[in-house]
Amino acid sequence: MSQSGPQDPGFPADLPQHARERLAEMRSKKLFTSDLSVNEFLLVKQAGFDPLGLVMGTSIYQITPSIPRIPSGQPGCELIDMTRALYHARELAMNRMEEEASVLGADGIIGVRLTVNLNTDPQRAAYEQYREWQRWARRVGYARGVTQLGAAWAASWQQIAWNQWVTWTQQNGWAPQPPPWARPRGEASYALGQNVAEFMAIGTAIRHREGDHYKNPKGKPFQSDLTGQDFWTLIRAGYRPVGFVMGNCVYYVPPELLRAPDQKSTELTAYTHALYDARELAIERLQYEAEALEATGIVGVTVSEQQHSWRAGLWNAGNAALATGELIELFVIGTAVVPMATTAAPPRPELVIAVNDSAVAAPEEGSEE
Amino acid sequence: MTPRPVPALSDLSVTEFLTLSRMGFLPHGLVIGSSVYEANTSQNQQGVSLWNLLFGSGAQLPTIVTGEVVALSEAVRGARTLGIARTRAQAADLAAEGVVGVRLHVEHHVWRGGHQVAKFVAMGTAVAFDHDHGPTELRGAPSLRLANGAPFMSDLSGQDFVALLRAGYRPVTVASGTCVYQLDPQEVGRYRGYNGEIGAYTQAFFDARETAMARLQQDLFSEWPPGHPDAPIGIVGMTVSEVAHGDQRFQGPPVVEFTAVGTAVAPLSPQDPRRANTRPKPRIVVPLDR
Repeated sequence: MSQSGPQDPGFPADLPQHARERLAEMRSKKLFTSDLSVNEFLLVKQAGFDPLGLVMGTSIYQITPSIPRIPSGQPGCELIDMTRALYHARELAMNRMEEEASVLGADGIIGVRLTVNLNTDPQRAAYEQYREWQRWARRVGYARGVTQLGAAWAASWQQIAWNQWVTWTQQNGWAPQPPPWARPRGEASYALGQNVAEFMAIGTAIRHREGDHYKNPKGKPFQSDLTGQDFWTLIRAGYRPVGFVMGNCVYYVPPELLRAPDQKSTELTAYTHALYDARELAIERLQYEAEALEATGIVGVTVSEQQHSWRAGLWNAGNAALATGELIELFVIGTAVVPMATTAAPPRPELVIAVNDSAVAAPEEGSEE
Repeated sequence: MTPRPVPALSDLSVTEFLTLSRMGFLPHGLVIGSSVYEANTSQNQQGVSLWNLLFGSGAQLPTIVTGEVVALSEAVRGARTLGIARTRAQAADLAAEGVVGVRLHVEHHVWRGGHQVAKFVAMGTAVAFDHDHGPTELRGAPSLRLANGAPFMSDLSGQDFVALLRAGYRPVTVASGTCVYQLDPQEVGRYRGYNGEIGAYTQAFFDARETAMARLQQDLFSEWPPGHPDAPIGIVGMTVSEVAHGDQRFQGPPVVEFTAVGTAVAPLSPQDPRRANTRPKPRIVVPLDR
């Protein structure tokens, strides 16, 4: 990926032309941009760092599942190709973000948000519309048998839904108008293609004011998903982040393992084992990455179990897992830290009653499912 | 100069109101600026007539090229600039020093006849320093209006605004940049059946976001170049968001709008008494509220 444009030997070829222009302008005019809140901005300043700029990287990746044929009675297995693809997509986005930060001369990036935008899959969009129609039809009194179209939903639902809607609007004497499931939505609803997702990393690049060395052992800026508050606390407590560490594992569970042999309350041992195995594999890879960075510990680890609904065909876009098996991604990410030479005792917390407005969750871009 | 309108409307929360009034700022009213803008997309649509196709030279089928839709980008930018300017003018009419808690909102419509219309609304609470109401030590505080007498604008909450003042910064304006991008839907077909990055799309999305952020900087610098008394030193709380135009799921090429928004800040004058003598010292606390 490269583009012609104002070339500067300091710029990696991976970054688009407008990124070069923006970063060069930011460097020359001494302007910083950041997505830090005011509190975070002040704390980062207090910790001895200056924000340099908002940096981002993105990668749009096609990930095609290949469901293996597993003999009956055998346990599930990892899908190595998908694991690698999902890891590579995130790595590409993170590397591009890191390159932008390097251009700005940053020591690190904080507040990194990794998002996977799955709204770009037309199948998913169609399925959501189908579900919305089902809910509407039940509400206005259509029987369950009329709205449950089963595996062949994709071919027939639009015609049935449209006929119902026209009847309904005529009964109510409404002017012709689009049905609720076909109205535009606020969230990104462009259809890039089947099994295509966007992976994005965005964060604020920072640099130490006195020029202390905060880069990681590879000489690159550290990345971390810590907030400004967490970053300040960590520095105060005598630790510094060295980078993101992540591990993932895509696991396939065949359909026989998803239900008990008879109608009894019992543990699905093989299913449990599969999930257990996937999680352990992901965490093992996370630890391996942390060791490569010579970290002493990992903070803020999140384990997420994501069912991306990446399927081989349209007939399988719904919850058809019981027929074809389950495809799960276990994704583990955290910030690796090392202790700094410090003599200060860790700070003692005080108890307060905060009068802040109750935290209003900011709407996140994309969706991590 | 009109006096403070009473009662003054505001969309401040109780905590915001108390925090602001403790610093001597009182609401002067809710200000709303809006503008409806039509995009001229005619240069984007390659005209294809049957005559041209059959007999004309240079006959071509319309092709969708991945790239920026300049007419739409310009329309959104124009609408936004007008909306913000109107909000600012309204705040000036209310004798306010600035506007806090500005929220920006854009809606896109395709109206009859294929007119692409962008409706833009900016809304916030105009505030001003009240010399009788404020604490005694802040009586002599200079105005926060910009050098040309216009009120400042900021999308920060009341608490954030006060924290910024205490730390020695003042808001200048809500800075924004926009880029509308169109994608070629054929591209994905070339990648059917295997795992891999779709380079053209990545490039498009990456470039569109970067363009939005670069435009924000360019617009900011063209109005307040370095050396200007209000020249911003940075932007806080910047977000880059994306919105798809219309329902692109089943017809038409995907058209996505990327918008970067943040508050530009400048240093407070050194003798301003609102500047805290010492930097606020953070403490580690355990909040007892839920």
